[in-house]
Amino acid sequence: MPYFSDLNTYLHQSSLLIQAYPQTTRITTKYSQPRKVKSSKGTSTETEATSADAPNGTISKPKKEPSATLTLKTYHPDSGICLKYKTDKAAEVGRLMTGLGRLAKGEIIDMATGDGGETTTGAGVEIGSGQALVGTDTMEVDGGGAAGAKTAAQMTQGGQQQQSGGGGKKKKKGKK
Amino acid sequence: MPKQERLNNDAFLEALGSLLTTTTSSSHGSVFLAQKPMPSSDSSTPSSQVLIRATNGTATSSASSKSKVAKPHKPRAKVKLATVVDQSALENFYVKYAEVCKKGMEGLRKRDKKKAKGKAKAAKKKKGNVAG
Repeated sequence: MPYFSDLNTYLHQSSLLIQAYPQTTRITTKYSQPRKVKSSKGTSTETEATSADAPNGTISKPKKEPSATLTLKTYHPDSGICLKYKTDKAAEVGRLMTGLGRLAKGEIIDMATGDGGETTTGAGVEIGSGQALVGTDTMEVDGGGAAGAKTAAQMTQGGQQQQSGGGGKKKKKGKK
Repeated sequence: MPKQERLNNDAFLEALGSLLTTTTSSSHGSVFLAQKPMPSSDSSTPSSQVLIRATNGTATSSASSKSKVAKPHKPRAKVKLATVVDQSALENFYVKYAEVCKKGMEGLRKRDKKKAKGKAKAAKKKKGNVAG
């Protein structure tokens, strides 16, 4: 049973699974602390005499202390699909929880950006369908290619609305 | 079997916060969180609510009968919390939920100094490109 290596991949795959099975998929988060309190120093020195591993000499502790871990599992009982992700970084907690929030709503999470944009029609049909229609309308008006331009425009704070991302690049070169 | 406590959103967040801090402060332990769509009615209408559960995963005292040696640490009470979040309140709830988790999960590894330096460099490079 593999763990995903990338945060965005896990969220993306989870969103796909929830799209497919909105009612039966569930997500679990486990925060566990496996700290083992090491016993007295006397025993550690004995082990060091036998093993030639310790480079320092007195301290037998490894450089990295075992930290707490956060494990996420997206599980679908019918098919037995289980997506897992594990991390020990505090920085990822916020991103993961935000991702879980979007998954709970039934949003689609993209691979590249990790941002959700539209709501699916699976969960929250009555509320979500109205929003989805609005989203599709705007997408159609802008066109497929201009979707990237839209995001680029947002990033540049509405500098150039109609020109595509290439326009922004040209501007950069000009300034140089 | 201890029953689940069904709380409202705020009470749940408070209880979750204290649950995380107690687990972080003690030598070892776990907190289990689960979320799943709550079937709103018996018929197959799609749900508009999300069920969120939290538990500390401690085994109940039934395990003590198995072992002869009494465990040194105190038996902790099994904590089981649950709350139902409405679709409209989901976003708001998750913002607070994320904050509680970030604060409570202090045992996680913070950013390494090396990585922080690398990130700072990358940020500088990015800034340089964007500014032109």
